[in-house]
Amino acid sequence: MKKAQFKIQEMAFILLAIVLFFVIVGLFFVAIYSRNLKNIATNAEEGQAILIAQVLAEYPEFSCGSLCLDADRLIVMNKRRKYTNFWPVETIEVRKITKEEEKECTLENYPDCNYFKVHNSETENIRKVGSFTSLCRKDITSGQTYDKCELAKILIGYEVR
Amino acid sequence: MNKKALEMSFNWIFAIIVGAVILFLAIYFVGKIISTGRYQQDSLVAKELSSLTNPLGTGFAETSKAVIDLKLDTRIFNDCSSVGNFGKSILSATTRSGIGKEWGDKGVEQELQSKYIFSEKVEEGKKLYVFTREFNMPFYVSDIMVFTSKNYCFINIPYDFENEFVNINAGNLKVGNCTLSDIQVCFNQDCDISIDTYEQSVTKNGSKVYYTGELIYAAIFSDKETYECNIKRLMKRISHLTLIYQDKIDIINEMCFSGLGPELQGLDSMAKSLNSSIDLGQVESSAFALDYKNDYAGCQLY
Repeated sequence: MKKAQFKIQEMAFILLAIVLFFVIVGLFFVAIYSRNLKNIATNAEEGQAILIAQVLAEYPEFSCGSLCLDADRLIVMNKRRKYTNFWPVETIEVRKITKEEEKECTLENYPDCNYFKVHNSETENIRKVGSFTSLCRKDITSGQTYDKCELAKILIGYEVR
Repeated sequence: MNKKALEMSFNWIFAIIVGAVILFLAIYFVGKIISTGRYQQDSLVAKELSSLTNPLGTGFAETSKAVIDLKLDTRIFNDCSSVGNFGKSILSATTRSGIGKEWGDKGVEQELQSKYIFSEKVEEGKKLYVFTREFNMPFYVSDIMVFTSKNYCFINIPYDFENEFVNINAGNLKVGNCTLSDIQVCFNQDCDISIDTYEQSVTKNGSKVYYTGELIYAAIFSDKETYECNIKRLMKRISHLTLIYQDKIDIINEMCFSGLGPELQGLDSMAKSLNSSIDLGQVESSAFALDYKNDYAGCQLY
């Protein structure tokens, strides 16, 4: 091999090495960048879920006043199909604070239950945030109708990316 | 020709070509990274704005207001669609940049089905003024959220509106002392935005829309298309809420009889039949009938 050819080959290898080096550095950068992007997206979702947990009792679909959820409307909102894409979160659940065993509310067993599944998407990787509120419903004692209120926890699920 | 000189020049040409390719690739990827960063930033602006709409709800306080300071000159795009069960407000943003195109492409759109955002199609500036008002028909339906970025000046403002004015003014609204750059809003006389309180209408850029109650604020600060679209969305929400109340009646009927079924159905059909804001009066009449009966019902529904 001539000296000139050898030099060209040598330069080509060096250039290839430089390009490879930059490609690897680039890939490393992209990996960190995309992981950071996922964290930003998850944090944004979490922030949204916390805010929804705080203001859920103000949605007219559930509200019975300030920081009050209407259980009679929670049960009719249970998995309401038209509301499937309405909520900007993955799940909405409300649990009465009680020592009793968890019993999901349906139209058949209401009000003898303590757990409302209002909205549930099919997303798998979900984390939940919560907030406390009062949960009220109409009840009757000795012919008198009154608002029976109990303590409950709102659980809002968001997707972890 | 000298053989060594030829060898040198070939080496140089080869190095220059490969160097140019590497330089081109480097510049290309840096450009891509910058534009992706810009897209990401614009998407985040829209995402944060959409998240901010939650704490900015009135929370039974009738009204709330805020000024959102944007780091850069920003264009906020507010689109509206009344298609689907609830329709949606679609927010997106783009920022001004000194590198490349002055205004980049819009970032990722944020679709909000539960929010009703009234504004011009595009609001531009470093500050975004937001206020919300509670919308009842006759029960609480939602908050109407108004985004503005321009300065408005009110002329011939009635006394009751002047009191309300303090509640909605986040800093870009004033009464009287108008300058040329202000958009003039007049009550019962002609100017940039004219409000006819007798007819309950707002005329802007030659287009007239009708309002009822709190919707006057939405009508003043929105373009006609956004306003009419959001009115249709609000009617859809009313319709869904009447169904929820009817279902609730079925559940509590044994212990608490309200007898509000026919009035709820009446409101539902009026809300469903609304074609444009001119029909708002009919919906309001149905709402009054429901409210009147609810006030005197043995068991109040809301």
